[in-house]
Amino acid sequence: MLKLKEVTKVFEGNVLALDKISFQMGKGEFLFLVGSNQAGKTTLLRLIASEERPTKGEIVFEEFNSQRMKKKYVPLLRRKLGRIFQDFRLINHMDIFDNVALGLRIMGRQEKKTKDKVHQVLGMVGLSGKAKLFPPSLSSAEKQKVAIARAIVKVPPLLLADEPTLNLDEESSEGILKLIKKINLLGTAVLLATHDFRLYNNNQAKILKMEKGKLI
Amino acid sequence: MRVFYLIGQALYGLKRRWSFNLILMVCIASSFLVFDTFLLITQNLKSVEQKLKGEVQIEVYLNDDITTLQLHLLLQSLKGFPEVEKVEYRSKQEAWTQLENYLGKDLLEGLDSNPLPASFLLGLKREHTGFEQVAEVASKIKSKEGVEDVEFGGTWLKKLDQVIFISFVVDIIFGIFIAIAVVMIVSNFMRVVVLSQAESIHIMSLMGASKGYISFPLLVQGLLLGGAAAWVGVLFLWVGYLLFASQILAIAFLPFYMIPALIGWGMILGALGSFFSIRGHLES
Repeated sequence: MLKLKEVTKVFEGNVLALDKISFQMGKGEFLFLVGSNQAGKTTLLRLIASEERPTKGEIVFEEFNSQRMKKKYVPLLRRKLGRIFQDFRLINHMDIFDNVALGLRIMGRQEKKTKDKVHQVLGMVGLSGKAKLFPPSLSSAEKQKVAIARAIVKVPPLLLADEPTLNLDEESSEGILKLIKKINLLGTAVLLATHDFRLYNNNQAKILKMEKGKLI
Repeated sequence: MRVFYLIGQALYGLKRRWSFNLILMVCIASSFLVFDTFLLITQNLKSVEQKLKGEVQIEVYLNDDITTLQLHLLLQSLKGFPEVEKVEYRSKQEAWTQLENYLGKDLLEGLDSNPLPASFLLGLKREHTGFEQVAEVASKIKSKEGVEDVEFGGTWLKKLDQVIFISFVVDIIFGIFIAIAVVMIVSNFMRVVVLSQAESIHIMSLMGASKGYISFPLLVQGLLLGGAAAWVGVLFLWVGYLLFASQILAIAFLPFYMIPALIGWGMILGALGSFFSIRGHLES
């Protein structure tokens, strides 16, 4: 489903961010991408989501190939991805319902089906009664739950989670991880980038370690 | 369904920044008011032109010794001009009577004989009343046998043509100037809107939103603001017309068909302004 082949990214000023990264993920797999800050985890996720193009190498995600893909297909690729960001990236002038519904609306789903699906997912993340609230009135953990709901509502084949517990306390972090695992059990592959060893220490999932842009 | 949702988003955006949008609309409406005012002046000048040109005549003075045959041939020849709508004969006596009615009998008592020539009065078709066309017809007639002289209101006809032409050019210049100004105003205001929504736009893009999905609500906002501003511009003009212009001058308001055309024009310019600002942002 996802295959990276010798992916290298060099930023302006000859800054090497990723150096010949190769790995692959199958359907429904759970993978931790671990490493300290500046290891290149976020850059790797950004490359998979086509926010950046690799300088060298190739990323293949389902029918999309980074080397051959035209710019106009980038939105189609992103619609197949669920994204969770460390800073939540919620739209503050939209209520929780609209934030979660965004992905489905972008995909052009029927409003009735969108409504049902959003309420179902909000129930799953424990935010049933908060659909009409706006992001600024939520706690950090709740915001991250909204972000998770937004990512999974379209049932993506792959979820990219970038430090999803960064700003959360231990209890909330565990709750978020449980939620992500639950989503994984439903068939969505998860690539979770984190530098928090507590998250991946007690897990059976496969771990990819990164350091200075390389897999070690 | 998605289109309705996006239109809803556009309306929500207008409502959310209503004070900002109100200022934007007043700015555009003021520009339109200037343009509408010039349009009103031109429209009225045109109707004056139509009225005056309906009265354009060529007077063909005849030689005193013209024979009946020559008179008949000349009449047929005049009727044969495609520019001529009607031909009216005025005898020497009729010309004298008209002059008498105009000046009074006393003033003409000293004259032994009638010095006035007989003449043909030619009414012209409306589409052939431009100065150059009338002058050309007059020149052709002057060379005909039995014709003493030809007169038409050359000087005032020329001036009328010039005034209409100048007002038309002014309209075009103002039209272009206002169109550029409106596009720039909307574009700059929309740039502020787009910048204030840069984060939301970026998030939508990360979620897989196409350029069309992101742009559509902002284009609709530009379209509605432009249309509303054009309508308010016409409304301001109408109020001004009722309060001042119609009281002082006998002028008519803009014809009804122009109002939807102006609103449509405003919508196009508003959408264009939005388009330029969004395109710039998305490209960057």
